[in-house]
Amino acid sequence: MSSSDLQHLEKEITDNIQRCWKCRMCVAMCPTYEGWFSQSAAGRLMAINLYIKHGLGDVKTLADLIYSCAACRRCQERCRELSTDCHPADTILKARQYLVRKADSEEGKD
Amino acid sequence: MSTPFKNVIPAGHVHIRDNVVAKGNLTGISEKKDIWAKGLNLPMQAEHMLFAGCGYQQMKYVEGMMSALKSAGKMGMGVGRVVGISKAFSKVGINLTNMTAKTMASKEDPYTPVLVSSVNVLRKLGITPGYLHETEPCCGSPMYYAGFEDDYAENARKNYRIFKDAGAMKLIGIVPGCTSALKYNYPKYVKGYDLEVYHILEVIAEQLKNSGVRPKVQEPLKVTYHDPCQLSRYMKITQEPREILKSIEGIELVEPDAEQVGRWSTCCGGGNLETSHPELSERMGDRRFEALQATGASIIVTNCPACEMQLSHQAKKTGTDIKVVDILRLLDEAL
Amino acid sequence: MGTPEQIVADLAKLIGKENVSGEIYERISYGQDAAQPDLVPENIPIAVVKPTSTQAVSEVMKYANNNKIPVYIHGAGTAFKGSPKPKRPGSILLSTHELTSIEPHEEDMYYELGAGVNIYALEKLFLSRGYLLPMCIGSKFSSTIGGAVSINTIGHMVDVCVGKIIDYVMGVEAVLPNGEIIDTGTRSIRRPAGLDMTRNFVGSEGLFGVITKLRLRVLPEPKKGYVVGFFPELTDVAHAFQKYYWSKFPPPLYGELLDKVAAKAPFELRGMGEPLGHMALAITVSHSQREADELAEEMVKIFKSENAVSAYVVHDEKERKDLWDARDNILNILQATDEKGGLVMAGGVESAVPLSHLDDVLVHLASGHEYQALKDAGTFIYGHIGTCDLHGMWVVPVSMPPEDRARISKAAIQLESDINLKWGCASGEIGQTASRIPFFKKRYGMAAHTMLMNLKRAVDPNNILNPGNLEGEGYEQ
Repeated sequence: MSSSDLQHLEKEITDNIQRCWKCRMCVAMCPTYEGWFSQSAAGRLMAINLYIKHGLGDVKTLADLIYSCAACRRCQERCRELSTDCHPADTILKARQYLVRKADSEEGKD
Repeated sequence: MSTPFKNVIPAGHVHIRDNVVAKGNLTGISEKKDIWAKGLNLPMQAEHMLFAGCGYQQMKYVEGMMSALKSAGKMGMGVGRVVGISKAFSKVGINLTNMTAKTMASKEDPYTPVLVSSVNVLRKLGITPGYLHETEPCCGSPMYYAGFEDDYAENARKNYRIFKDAGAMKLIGIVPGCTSALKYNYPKYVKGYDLEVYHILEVIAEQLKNSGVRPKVQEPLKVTYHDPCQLSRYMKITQEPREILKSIEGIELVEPDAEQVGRWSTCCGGGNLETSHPELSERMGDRRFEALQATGASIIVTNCPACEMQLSHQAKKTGTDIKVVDILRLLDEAL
Repeated sequence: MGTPEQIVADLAKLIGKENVSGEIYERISYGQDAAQPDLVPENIPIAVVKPTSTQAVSEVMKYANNNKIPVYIHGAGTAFKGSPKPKRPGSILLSTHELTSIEPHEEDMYYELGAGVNIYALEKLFLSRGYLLPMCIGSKFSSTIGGAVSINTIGHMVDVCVGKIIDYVMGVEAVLPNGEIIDTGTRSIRRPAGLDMTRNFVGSEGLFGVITKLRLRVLPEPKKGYVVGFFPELTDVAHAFQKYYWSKFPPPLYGELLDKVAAKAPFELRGMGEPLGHMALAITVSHSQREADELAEEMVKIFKSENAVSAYVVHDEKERKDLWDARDNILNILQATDEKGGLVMAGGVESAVPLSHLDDVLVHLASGHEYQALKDAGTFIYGHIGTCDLHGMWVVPVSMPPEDRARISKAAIQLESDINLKWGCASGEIGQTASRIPFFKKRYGMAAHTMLMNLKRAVDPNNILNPGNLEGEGYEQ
């Protein structure tokens, strides 16, 4: 995957996250939420957003967070009903595609 | 496979993807796909083609391996590690998966009978499905959820050709995850996708309404229904299973809080998540099981092999008498 | 002052390591607030703490004060005006989410609540006990009672009908910036006359202390009448509510406006077709259903006399839920998509204006102002017209470059300031600090602002509690 394709994917993800209002209505909906905001769609989206924009954190911790989502779409259902319908669950799945492609494109480089 | 993945993508997902690409099923076990269908005389071609999926067929191996490992104290082993171990052995020529899986397979196998029941129910309601038998491919949806989009797309296109070559036009899926992939995802990757995809519960609900058949159970049962995430929010099917349950004489349906049923149903943690985050999956299972148990029902009814494995594990762990039964088996007995 | 790792370790020792996180993605999740833009890396907090008791809050504040570490307090961090985001680097983010005690004292007509109690959960609890929670907050599914009380807001409800929430707060327990714990107010339904320190904390936007507990008086749930009306012009809606008040009818509990363009997406989402015009909603209340219904009929009559194309009392349960959800879930209006893939809010105005100028302000918001950047964006007008509080929202495609979006945001802040200055009022809902400080200074003068700064310095000499908000840092004009 060429780096311009990766950049396109980055833009798609961060643009989508701009539509997130950070209203945090998804937090109580998330079955993985156990008291900390990162355990929610909002938390995962903010993480990938600032990773892409500022390189914050590291890819392994990010991947652990992104893959700890059950992709159950309960957040997405809530966002559509009460908020901006920013497709949080689908964006998290897109972030996984991004992580796979990023790892793939680094194959061969040492 | 790719080393960079090892450092980033959870190992379990990588293993499953390798299995699907190389062996055409989740666990990489080489076994004929249609053992369950022996004696059912399903034709290779029919107007309605059943899509059985890997889930129900392979859960007994997954469950067996996992419970053997859990009782050996290896709680941290999710499906991913289990599969990984067998891969390591296969490198030295030992098909550990096949051997151990078959010896460790869960003695109780409530999963494959679901497939038999699905055929029985359809036939009793006037539909004679076909089945691709050995040529049935894996839908590949775990690859999609893990982010392997290119592998998934390639698999989708390959599968579409298989379906078309076999003359299939209408697919009836049983596993919600597979059905959602075939209906909503495949069209994104396959140009000119023209297969009609239904979930079996949609078909059954319709047939029950039109046929006037009144199913009933031997003795009155208090049941609760757990909506699988894939069925309620991806396929948007929440009414049909409840209609079916309400149409069975002798069944009393009780439900958890309105904010936890139907489209708001809370995920049980089974399935893809168990591959990468087994402890989290266990805690989610605890929470969901508690909510379902609190309804006072004696049976948890659902329709997803991953949910069933998770919830039966919970029932066993908590030592309660609650049984987890697939809706298709319940309906088969009631018809 | 130690390294971030040392600070995290110290905090863990003070309040338990399961209540502290120094993990990067956790700090980002708590540091971001509900306003654009994104959190800047320099201001990401170095630790997130979730104390489980007032004593723990006190320990954190003492530690922060001794080491001069800024502390930002969150309920759920959902405020719009920029106040929850850390303004200084190296801060501690203190979340009140674990302060969730609920103690009923119904025989004395109050409940004692932890600041972190969720508003929606509280609303449901009160309803189940026959009480009305006198606030209607759009963010209620995630926000906390402590947050609402610290801003002294009641959201969508009508002040002249139920008062502001301070009228129900009989007393608070608060932690001062130096860690000392204060208890205020009374346990009687007659509040103290004269000095009552409850007022120093309720509505002080987290400047003087951290509210950890509050005593909330209960009021019985009234009987209600529900009215909807659709109007051809925004000014018609204004005239309707003016007429209602000038006719000396008792105030409604709820009076809302949603312009025709803004209503489109929420209606579509619920399968309600096209809105017939600008939508007005009202809830009339009384102790008796008969009077509530009579008032509702009067409201319908007035709506019709002000050109409503349709106005009636809503009886059907589903229709009522749909109409009210269409207005209350205001973020639904951002679901209207354009070809470029989605809309985002670029700027907003919120102003509580004099009753006789409701119509003037609507015209000004819609087209009477001079800000070209706003005229070029999509305009949504809505708000709590029944309590004279109007909103404007300017939306743009998500693909618009951030600099252009920032320009619109600035223009909106200035427009809001213009309106408040021109008509002698202020915003009525979400507080006056952070992005609103430039206006505050213009409206009340530097003497007033300096007085507040002096009070702040006296109570918080190291300026560690939510620093930057009273100063309006980041929002200089």
